[in-house]
Amino acid sequence: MSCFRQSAQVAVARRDDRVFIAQLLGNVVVLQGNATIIWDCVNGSSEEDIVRRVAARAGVPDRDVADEVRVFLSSLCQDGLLIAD
Amino acid sequence: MTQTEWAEHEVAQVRIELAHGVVQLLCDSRRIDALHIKGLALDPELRHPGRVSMDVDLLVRPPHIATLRAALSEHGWQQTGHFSTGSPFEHAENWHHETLGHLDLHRLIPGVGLPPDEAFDAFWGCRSQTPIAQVDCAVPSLDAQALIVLLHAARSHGDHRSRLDVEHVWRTADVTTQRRIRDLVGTMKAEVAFAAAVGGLEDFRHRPDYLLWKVNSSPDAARTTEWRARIKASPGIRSKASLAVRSLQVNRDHLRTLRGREPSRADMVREFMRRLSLATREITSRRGRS
Repeated sequence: MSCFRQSAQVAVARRDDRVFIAQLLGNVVVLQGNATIIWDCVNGSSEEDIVRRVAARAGVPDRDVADEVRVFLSSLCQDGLLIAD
Repeated sequence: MTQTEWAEHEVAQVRIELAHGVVQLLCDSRRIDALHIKGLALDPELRHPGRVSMDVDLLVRPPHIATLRAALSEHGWQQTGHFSTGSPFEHAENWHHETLGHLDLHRLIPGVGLPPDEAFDAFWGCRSQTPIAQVDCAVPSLDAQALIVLLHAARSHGDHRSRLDVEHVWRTADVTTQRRIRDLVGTMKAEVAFAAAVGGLEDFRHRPDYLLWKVNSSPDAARTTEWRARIKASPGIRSKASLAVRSLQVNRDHLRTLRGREPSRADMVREFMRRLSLATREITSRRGRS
Protein backbone atom coordinates (compact mmCIF):
# COMPACT_ATOMS: atom_id res chain seq x y z
CA MET A 1 0.00 0.00 0.00
CA SER A 2 1.39 3.42 -1.04
CA CYS A 3 2.11 6.11 1.46
CA PHE A 4 2.16 9.73 0.36
CA ARG A 5 4.50 12.54 1.30
CA GLN A 6 4.99 16.11 0.14
CA SER A 7 7.81 16.50 -2.38
CA ALA A 8 11.00 17.95 -0.94
CA GLN A 9 11.44 19.89 -4.19
CA VAL A 10 8.72 22.44 -3.49
CA ALA A 11 8.47 25.67 -1.54
CA VAL A 12 5.25 26.14 0.41
CA ALA A 13 3.68 29.33 1.76
CA ARG A 14 0.44 29.66 3.70
CA ARG A 15 -2.03 32.50 4.05
CA ASP A 16 -5.26 31.88 5.96
CA ASP A 17 -6.89 28.80 4.38
CA ARG A 18 -4.72 28.89 1.25
CA VAL A 19 -1.57 26.94 0.49
CA PHE A 20 0.75 28.21 -2.27
CA ILE A 21 3.14 25.59 -3.65
CA ALA A 22 6.01 26.54 -5.97
CA GLN A 23 8.14 24.10 -7.95
CA LEU A 24 11.69 24.63 -9.14
CA LEU A 25 10.56 26.14 -12.43
CA GLY A 26 8.54 28.67 -10.48
CA ASN A 27 5.07 27.45 -11.44
CA VAL A 28 2.77 27.97 -8.47
CA VAL A 29 -0.23 25.86 -7.47
CA VAL A 30 -2.77 27.33 -5.04
CA LEU A 31 -4.81 25.00 -2.87
CA GLN A 32 -7.92 26.11 -1.04
CA GLY A 33 -10.67 24.53 1.07
CA ASN A 34 -10.78 20.70 0.98
CA ALA A 35 -7.61 20.64 -1.12
CA THR A 36 -5.75 22.26 1.78
CA ILE A 37 -7.13 19.67 4.19
CA ILE A 38 -5.89 16.86 1.95
CA TRP A 39 -2.45 18.49 1.57
CA ASP A 40 -2.16 18.75 5.34
CA CYS A 41 -3.11 15.09 5.82
CA VAL A 42 -0.65 13.48 3.44
CA ASN A 43 2.62 13.25 5.29
CA GLY A 44 3.55 9.59 5.43
CA SER A 45 -0.08 8.47 5.32
CA SER A 46 -1.76 5.85 3.14
CA GLU A 47 -4.67 6.68 0.87
CA GLU A 48 -7.12 5.04 3.32
CA ASP A 49 -5.72 7.06 6.23
CA ILE A 50 -6.03 10.26 4.24
CA VAL A 51 -9.62 9.47 3.21
CA ARG A 52 -10.49 8.75 6.87
CA ARG A 53 -8.91 11.97 8.14
CA VAL A 54 -10.42 14.17 5.44
CA ALA A 55 -13.86 12.65 6.07
CA ALA A 56 -13.48 13.18 9.82
CA ARG A 57 -12.49 16.82 9.36
CA ALA A 58 -15.36 17.40 6.92
CA GLY A 59 -17.79 15.52 9.24
CA VAL A 60 -18.99 13.13 6.50
CA PRO A 61 -18.73 9.33 5.92
CA ASP A 62 -15.50 8.04 4.27
CA ARG A 63 -17.32 6.91 1.14
CA ASP A 64 -18.54 10.46 0.42
CA VAL A 65 -15.02 11.78 -0.08
CA ALA A 66 -13.05 8.67 -1.13
CA ASP A 67 -13.26 9.14 -4.91
CA GLU A 68 -12.55 12.84 -4.76
CA VAL A 69 -9.51 12.29 -2.51
CA ARG A 70 -8.11 9.52 -4.77
CA VAL A 71 -8.40 11.66 -7.89
CA PHE A 72 -6.84 14.63 -6.17
CA LEU A 73 -3.92 12.61 -4.74
CA SER A 74 -3.29 11.20 -8.17
CA SER A 75 -3.22 14.66 -9.77
CA LEU A 76 -0.82 15.99 -7.13
CA CYS A 77 1.48 13.01 -7.80
CA GLN A 78 1.33 13.63 -11.55
CA ASP A 79 2.27 17.28 -10.98
CA GLY A 80 5.24 16.21 -8.87
CA LEU A 81 3.93 17.87 -5.72
CA LEU A 82 3.41 14.57 -3.88
CA ILE A 83 5.52 11.43 -3.84
CA ALA A 84 3.90 7.98 -3.46
CA ASP A 85 6.34 5.58 -1.79
CA MET B 1 -3.87 50.54 3.60
CA THR B 2 -7.00 49.71 1.55
CA GLN B 3 -8.22 46.13 1.20
CA THR B 4 -6.92 46.00 -2.41
CA GLU B 5 -3.51 47.35 -1.35
CA TRP B 6 -3.42 44.85 1.49
CA ALA B 7 -4.24 41.99 -0.92
CA GLU B 8 -1.52 43.14 -3.35
CA HIS B 9 0.94 43.42 -0.48
CA GLU B 10 0.07 39.90 0.68
CA VAL B 11 0.50 38.46 -2.81
CA ALA B 12 3.87 40.18 -3.11
CA GLN B 13 4.97 38.76 0.25
CA VAL B 14 3.87 35.22 -0.73
CA ARG B 15 5.79 35.59 -3.98
CA ILE B 16 8.96 36.65 -2.16
CA GLU B 17 8.58 33.86 0.40
CA LEU B 18 8.25 31.26 -2.37
CA ALA B 19 11.19 32.80 -4.26
CA HIS B 20 13.46 32.37 -1.20
CA GLY B 21 12.44 28.72 -0.95
CA VAL B 22 12.78 27.93 -4.66
CA VAL B 23 16.18 29.63 -4.94
CA GLN B 24 17.43 27.69 -1.91
CA LEU B 25 16.21 24.43 -3.49
CA LEU B 26 18.16 25.34 -6.65
CA CYS B 27 21.25 26.05 -4.54
CA ASP B 28 20.86 22.71 -2.73
CA SER B 29 20.48 20.84 -6.01
CA ARG B 30 23.72 22.33 -7.42
CA ARG B 31 25.72 22.41 -4.17
CA ILE B 32 25.89 26.20 -4.23
CA ASP B 33 26.81 28.00 -1.01
CA ALA B 34 24.54 31.01 -0.61
CA LEU B 35 23.27 33.10 2.29
CA HIS B 36 19.86 34.76 2.33
CA ILE B 37 20.39 38.30 3.54
CA LYS B 38 17.97 41.08 4.49
CA GLY B 39 14.26 41.06 3.68
CA LEU B 40 12.23 38.07 4.80
CA ALA B 41 15.41 36.27 5.82
CA LEU B 42 16.16 38.92 8.41
CA ASP B 43 15.71 37.78 12.00
CA PRO B 44 12.44 39.23 13.40
CA GLU B 45 14.49 40.82 16.20
CA LEU B 46 16.19 43.03 13.62
CA ARG B 47 13.07 44.11 11.73
CA HIS B 48 11.44 47.34 12.76
CA PRO B 49 7.63 47.40 12.57
CA GLY B 50 6.46 48.05 9.02
CA ARG B 51 9.73 46.96 7.40
CA VAL B 52 8.76 45.29 4.13
CA SER B 53 10.89 43.47 1.61
CA MET B 54 10.56 43.78 -2.15
CA ASP B 55 12.90 41.06 -3.39
CA VAL B 56 15.24 38.24 -2.48
CA ASP B 57 18.85 39.15 -1.66
CA LEU B 58 21.34 36.35 -1.89
CA LEU B 59 25.06 36.50 -1.05
CA VAL B 60 26.76 33.77 -3.08
CA ARG B 61 30.19 32.22 -2.64
CA PRO B 62 32.04 33.97 -5.51
CA PRO B 63 33.31 30.80 -7.28
CA HIS B 64 29.74 29.42 -7.22
CA ILE B 65 28.16 32.39 -9.02
CA ALA B 66 28.53 30.92 -12.52
CA THR B 67 26.79 27.72 -11.44
CA LEU B 68 23.92 29.68 -9.90
CA ARG B 69 23.55 31.82 -13.03
CA ALA B 70 23.23 28.66 -15.12
CA ALA B 71 20.68 27.16 -12.71
CA LEU B 72 18.60 30.36 -12.68
CA SER B 73 18.62 30.60 -16.48
CA GLU B 74 17.47 27.00 -16.76
CA HIS B 75 14.58 27.64 -14.37
CA GLY B 76 12.85 30.62 -15.92
CA TRP B 77 14.88 33.50 -14.45
CA GLN B 78 16.14 36.30 -16.66
CA GLN B 79 19.08 38.54 -15.90
CA THR B 80 17.97 42.19 -15.85
CA GLY B 81 21.07 43.91 -14.43
CA HIS B 82 24.80 43.33 -14.24
CA PHE B 83 27.47 43.81 -11.56
CA SER B 84 29.09 46.64 -13.50
CA THR B 85 25.87 48.63 -13.89
CA GLY B 86 23.96 47.85 -10.69
CA SER B 87 25.43 50.24 -8.13
CA PRO B 88 28.56 52.30 -7.41
CA PHE B 89 29.87 49.23 -5.56
CA GLU B 90 29.25 46.80 -8.44
CA HIS B 91 28.21 44.30 -5.82
CA ALA B 92 24.99 42.75 -7.14
CA GLU B 93 23.33 41.66 -10.34
CA ASN B 94 19.60 41.47 -10.83
CA TRP B 95 17.37 38.63 -11.94
CA HIS B 96 13.65 38.45 -12.56
CA HIS B 97 11.17 35.58 -12.69
CA GLU B 98 7.71 36.11 -14.13
CA THR B 99 6.02 34.44 -11.16
CA LEU B 100 8.54 34.71 -8.35
CA GLY B 101 9.66 38.32 -8.84
CA HIS B 102 13.08 39.85 -8.25
CA LEU B 103 16.35 38.40 -7.02
CA ASP B 104 19.51 40.36 -6.26
CA LEU B 105 22.56 38.13 -6.53
CA HIS B 106 25.38 39.60 -4.41
CA ARG B 107 29.02 38.78 -4.86
CA LEU B 108 30.10 40.96 -1.94
CA ILE B 109 28.74 43.21 0.78
CA PRO B 110 29.65 46.87 0.13
CA GLY B 111 31.66 48.22 3.04
CA VAL B 112 33.32 44.93 3.97
CA GLY B 113 37.04 45.37 3.37
CA LEU B 114 38.01 41.70 3.31
CA PRO B 115 38.39 40.15 -0.14
CA PRO B 116 35.00 38.70 -1.23
CA ASP B 117 36.09 35.05 -0.85
CA GLU B 118 37.42 35.61 2.67
CA ALA B 119 34.38 37.66 3.65
CA PHE B 120 32.05 34.92 2.43
CA ASP B 121 34.02 32.32 4.40
CA ALA B 122 33.69 34.45 7.53
CA PHE B 123 29.93 34.89 7.09
CA TRP B 124 29.45 31.23 6.09
CA GLY B 125 31.47 29.96 9.06
CA CYS B 126 28.93 31.29 11.57
CA ARG B 127 25.75 30.83 9.53
CA SER B 128 22.51 29.42 10.84
CA GLN B 129 19.35 28.09 9.19
CA THR B 130 15.91 29.59 9.03
CA PRO B 131 12.87 28.03 7.39
CA ILE B 132 11.32 30.12 4.62
CA ALA B 133 8.50 28.59 2.60
CA GLN B 134 9.20 25.32 4.46
CA VAL B 135 12.74 25.20 3.05
CA ASP B 136 15.79 25.49 5.31
CA CYS B 137 17.59 28.61 4.12
CA ALA B 138 21.14 29.50 5.16
CA VAL B 139 21.40 32.93 6.81
CA PRO B 140 24.29 34.81 8.44
CA SER B 141 24.60 34.85 12.23
CA LEU B 142 22.44 37.38 14.08
CA ASP B 143 25.38 39.78 14.56
CA ALA B 144 26.36 39.45 10.90
CA GLN B 145 22.77 40.17 9.88
CA ALA B 146 22.83 43.31 12.03
CA LEU B 147 26.12 44.38 10.43
CA ILE B 148 24.77 43.80 6.91
CA VAL B 149 21.67 45.91 7.67
CA LEU B 150 23.86 48.72 9.02
CA LEU B 151 26.23 48.61 6.04
CA HIS B 152 23.23 48.78 3.73
CA ALA B 153 21.91 51.78 5.66
CA ALA B 154 25.31 53.44 5.20
CA ARG B 155 24.83 53.59 1.42
CA SER B 156 21.15 54.53 1.40
CA HIS B 157 21.68 58.31 1.30
CA GLY B 158 20.10 58.68 4.74
CA ASP B 159 16.62 57.65 3.60
CA HIS B 160 13.77 57.09 6.03
CA ARG B 161 14.04 53.30 6.07
CA SER B 162 17.78 53.31 6.69
CA ARG B 163 17.35 55.74 9.59
CA LEU B 164 14.76 53.41 11.13
CA ASP B 165 17.11 50.43 10.56
CA VAL B 166 20.01 52.14 12.35
CA GLU B 167 17.73 53.16 15.19
CA HIS B 168 16.28 49.67 15.58
CA VAL B 169 19.38 47.56 15.00
CA TRP B 170 22.06 49.73 16.58
CA ARG B 171 20.81 52.46 18.87
CA THR B 172 18.40 50.23 20.79
CA ALA B 173 20.91 47.36 21.05
CA ASP B 174 22.44 46.69 24.47
CA VAL B 175 26.11 47.38 25.16
CA THR B 176 27.10 43.70 24.89
CA THR B 177 25.45 43.36 21.48
CA GLN B 178 27.05 46.59 20.27
CA ARG B 179 30.47 45.32 21.42
CA ARG B 180 30.00 42.05 19.51
CA ILE B 181 28.97 43.93 16.38
CA ARG B 182 31.98 46.25 16.69
CA ASP B 183 34.23 43.19 17.00
CA LEU B 184 32.72 41.85 13.80
CA VAL B 185 33.28 45.22 12.12
CA GLY B 186 36.98 44.81 12.92
CA THR B 187 37.09 41.22 11.67
CA MET B 188 35.40 42.17 8.40
CA LYS B 189 37.43 45.40 8.00
CA ALA B 190 34.24 47.41 7.69
CA GLU B 191 35.17 50.40 9.85
CA VAL B 192 34.57 53.21 7.34
CA ALA B 193 31.15 52.09 6.10
CA PHE B 194 30.09 51.22 9.65
CA ALA B 195 31.01 54.72 10.78
CA ALA B 196 28.99 56.14 7.86
CA ALA B 197 25.97 54.30 9.30
CA VAL B 198 26.28 54.90 13.03
CA GLY B 199 28.42 58.04 13.20
CA GLY B 200 32.10 58.92 13.36
CA LEU B 201 32.84 58.93 9.62
CA GLU B 202 35.00 62.08 9.97
CA ASP B 203 37.52 59.98 11.92
CA PHE B 204 38.29 58.26 8.61
CA ARG B 205 38.99 61.31 6.42
CA HIS B 206 42.44 59.92 5.66
CA ARG B 207 41.07 56.71 4.14
CA PRO B 208 40.73 56.41 0.34
CA ASP B 209 37.13 55.19 0.62
CA TYR B 210 36.07 58.03 2.96
CA LEU B 211 34.59 60.15 0.16
CA LEU B 212 32.73 57.18 -1.32
CA TRP B 213 30.95 56.59 1.97
CA LYS B 214 30.47 60.27 2.63
CA VAL B 215 28.72 60.59 -0.72
CA ASN B 216 26.63 57.45 -0.39
CA SER B 217 25.49 58.19 3.15
CA SER B 218 24.54 61.76 2.36
CA PRO B 219 21.08 62.64 0.99
CA ASP B 220 22.14 65.14 -1.70
CA ALA B 221 25.17 63.74 -3.52
CA ALA B 222 25.58 64.79 -7.15
CA ARG B 223 26.36 62.14 -9.74
CA THR B 224 29.84 63.44 -10.64
CA THR B 225 30.73 63.57 -6.95
CA GLU B 226 29.76 59.91 -6.67
CA TRP B 227 31.98 58.99 -9.61
CA ARG B 228 34.90 61.07 -8.25
CA ALA B 229 34.48 59.18 -4.97
CA ARG B 230 34.48 55.83 -6.76
CA ILE B 231 37.61 56.76 -8.71
CA LYS B 232 39.37 57.88 -5.52
CA ALA B 233 38.43 54.67 -3.66
CA SER B 234 39.46 52.47 -6.58
CA PRO B 235 42.87 50.84 -5.88
CA GLY B 236 44.94 50.90 -9.11
CA ILE B 237 45.59 53.44 -11.88
CA ARG B 238 44.15 51.07 -14.49
CA SER B 239 41.00 50.59 -12.44
CA LYS B 240 40.71 54.35 -11.87
CA ALA B 241 40.98 55.04 -15.62
CA SER B 242 38.37 52.42 -16.43
CA LEU B 243 35.96 53.93 -13.90
CA ALA B 244 36.51 57.44 -15.27
CA VAL B 245 35.54 56.30 -18.77
CA ARG B 246 32.52 54.34 -17.50
CA SER B 247 31.21 57.29 -15.51
CA LEU B 248 29.97 58.79 -18.79
CA GLN B 249 28.85 55.56 -20.37
CA VAL B 250 25.14 54.87 -20.55
CA ASN B 251 23.79 52.17 -18.25
CA ARG B 252 21.75 50.04 -20.67
CA ASP B 253 20.15 48.01 -17.82
CA HIS B 254 18.95 51.14 -16.08
CA LEU B 255 17.69 52.68 -19.30
CA ARG B 256 15.80 49.47 -20.14
CA THR B 257 14.07 49.62 -16.76
CA LEU B 258 13.17 53.29 -17.22
CA ARG B 259 11.86 52.87 -20.78
CA GLY B 260 10.19 49.50 -20.17
CA ARG B 261 11.74 48.19 -23.43
CA GLU B 262 15.13 47.51 -25.00
CA PRO B 263 16.73 50.96 -25.52
CA SER B 264 17.32 51.98 -29.14
CA ARG B 265 20.57 53.46 -30.47
CA ALA B 266 18.90 56.89 -30.43
CA ASP B 267 17.93 56.37 -26.75
CA MET B 268 21.55 55.52 -25.91
CA VAL B 269 22.91 58.59 -27.73
CA ARG B 270 20.35 60.89 -26.07
CA GLU B 271 21.20 59.45 -22.64
CA PHE B 272 24.95 59.86 -23.28
CA MET B 273 24.45 63.52 -24.25
CA ARG B 274 22.26 64.03 -21.19
CA ARG B 275 24.97 62.61 -18.92
CA LEU B 276 27.67 64.70 -20.58
CA SER B 277 25.59 67.84 -20.20
CA LEU B 278 24.71 66.95 -16.58
CA ALA B 279 28.37 66.31 -15.73
CA THR B 280 29.35 69.63 -17.32
CA ARG B 281 26.67 71.48 -15.35
CA GLU B 282 27.73 69.83 -12.07
CA ILE B 283 31.38 70.72 -12.68
CA THR B 284 30.47 74.28 -13.68
CA SER B 285 28.30 74.80 -10.62
CA ARG B 286 31.07 73.45 -8.36
CA ARG B 287 33.55 75.88 -9.91
CA GLY B 288 31.01 78.67 -9.39
CA ARG B 289 30.81 77.84 -5.68
CA SER B 290 34.55 77.54 -5.13
